[in-house]
Amino acid sequence: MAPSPFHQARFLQPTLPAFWLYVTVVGATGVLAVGEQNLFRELSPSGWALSWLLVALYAAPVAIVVYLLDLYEREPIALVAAAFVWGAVAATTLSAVGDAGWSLVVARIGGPAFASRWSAALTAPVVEEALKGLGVVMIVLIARDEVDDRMDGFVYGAMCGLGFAVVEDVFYFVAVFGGDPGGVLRGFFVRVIASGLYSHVLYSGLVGIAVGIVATRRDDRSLGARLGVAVPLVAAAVAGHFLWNSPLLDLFPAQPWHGSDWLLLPIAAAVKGLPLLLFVVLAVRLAQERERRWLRDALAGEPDAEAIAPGDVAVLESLSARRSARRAIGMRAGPRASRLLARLQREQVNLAMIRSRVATQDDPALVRQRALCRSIRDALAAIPGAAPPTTVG
Amino acid sequence: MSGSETPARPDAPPGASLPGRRWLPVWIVIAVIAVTTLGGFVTAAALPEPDAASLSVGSVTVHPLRGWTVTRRAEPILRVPAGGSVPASLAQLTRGNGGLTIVVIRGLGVGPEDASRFYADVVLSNQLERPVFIGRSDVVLRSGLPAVRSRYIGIEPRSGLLLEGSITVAVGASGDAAVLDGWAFERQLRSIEDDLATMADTAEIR
Repeated sequence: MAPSPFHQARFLQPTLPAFWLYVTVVGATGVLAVGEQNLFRELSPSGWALSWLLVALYAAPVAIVVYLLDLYEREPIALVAAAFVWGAVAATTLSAVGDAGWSLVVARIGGPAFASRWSAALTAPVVEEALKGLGVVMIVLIARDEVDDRMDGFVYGAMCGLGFAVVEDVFYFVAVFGGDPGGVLRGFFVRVIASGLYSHVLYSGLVGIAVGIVATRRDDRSLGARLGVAVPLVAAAVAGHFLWNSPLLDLFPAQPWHGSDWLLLPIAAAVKGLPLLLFVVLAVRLAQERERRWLRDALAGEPDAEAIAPGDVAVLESLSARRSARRAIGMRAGPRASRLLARLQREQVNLAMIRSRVATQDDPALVRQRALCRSIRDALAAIPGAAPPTTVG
Repeated sequence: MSGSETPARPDAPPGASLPGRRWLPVWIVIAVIAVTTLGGFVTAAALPEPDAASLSVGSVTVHPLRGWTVTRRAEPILRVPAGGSVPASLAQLTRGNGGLTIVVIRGLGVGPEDASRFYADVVLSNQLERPVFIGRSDVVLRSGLPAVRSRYIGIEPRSGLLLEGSITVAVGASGDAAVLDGWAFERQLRSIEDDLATMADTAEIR
């Protein structure tokens, strides 16, 4: 079957201007970013290496969690990686320039004393959220079909934010906390252990949800109505970032920190960051519930019980139920049956997506997808011990 | 759903996006990047320069001259080569072609000469490649405080350009060492030298 010309699920899209813009911006900023890392490596080889090791230990599980939050339609790894790279390379480098420029404006308007207290709060939230958010926009422009709804936007936004946070953390560990192993460990405690939950992943995740709302095809509301939801989400992200950078609610102890000061750091960080974290958790839960509803609606009334049996939808809605079903069939009929069931579950989600997009029940695309699901179910039924395969649960 | 296992989506609506429409969002993205990154500099250039107010950095107060803007403040911990660390307060002023970094090293408890050497070893040696110190003179600030002034050159690693600087170091009654490090890229120091000397001489070091 020839791929649809409209389908843009891959990252490599050399026919798209947006792809080349992405490559150009990341390439140009990448030269500067590599130069900066080289400088850090020369300044403190051991501290620099330790910095990357520590941020990798933090970033890997966060990336996995973010990736798995999308229950039904996991995003292509190449696109997720592209979002991460945009945040790590393009957004950090451009933000350094943008923050410096807009800080001059704050200093000109408010004077040096005001600027020294408020520049970071007034410039970074807008500049950085805009530049990280552009990473999600670039993904939409490169692979329009992959950003179906707000959960997809969250994944790409959070990955942009994670990339940004990783590079920013290395900068802080080496350039602000001294760069020696002791300083790096102190920096890791302050920026990751004490406050890592409240960082760029949250802000950019919210911006990503907003982009997802605007870009979605699953929402029949007008663009204006969708902007009415998206703009407050972006404002919430900027406000959360503003609060974090501002002197407001600043309970952090004065440096140098000794003894109990280190215990106060997580509390001070929580005061500033916890409200936004709770807000983002709520937004993600709502987005997941919305995806569940979408799946249920998309598969409701499916006439082909061989492609998707009535009991299958309830199993598909829950990741744990899907895993339990695969585990059960794997114990009964072996790992091949478990893999086939996983494939069937994926194709059933694909079936839901196609149903939600086509106008008629006998659309050739839908007919083909049903046939694919039936063939997998037949293959599953042929494995001894896999029966009864009429329900995936 | 993704990757190699994703079936080619057969659900595409007829007709792809028009080629011309592919460019519009790209130009919008470019415009947003340009405004976000460069807009601040353009806006700042259009605004009148404020009369600089006094700038307090730890136990030091500096009176920035017209055109000098605070671009950075920090509370770094300085790593001592022999082990341990010393807290410091930092502020950076710039005037386009150069800068003045004010570093107050808290509780150092040494004289200006040793404080100057400490700054050279702990800070400058980490920031510059092959720093070379040229000349050293004793000066007296307008407050009557004795100070040490020396010049240096070195290569700024990020750009590979030669950097010239002039540091003035004094120690106040609190025992804090005040370092006023004025710098500019090659052949540009002369254009700000008078400003740097004035700001260093008029600094109030407690």
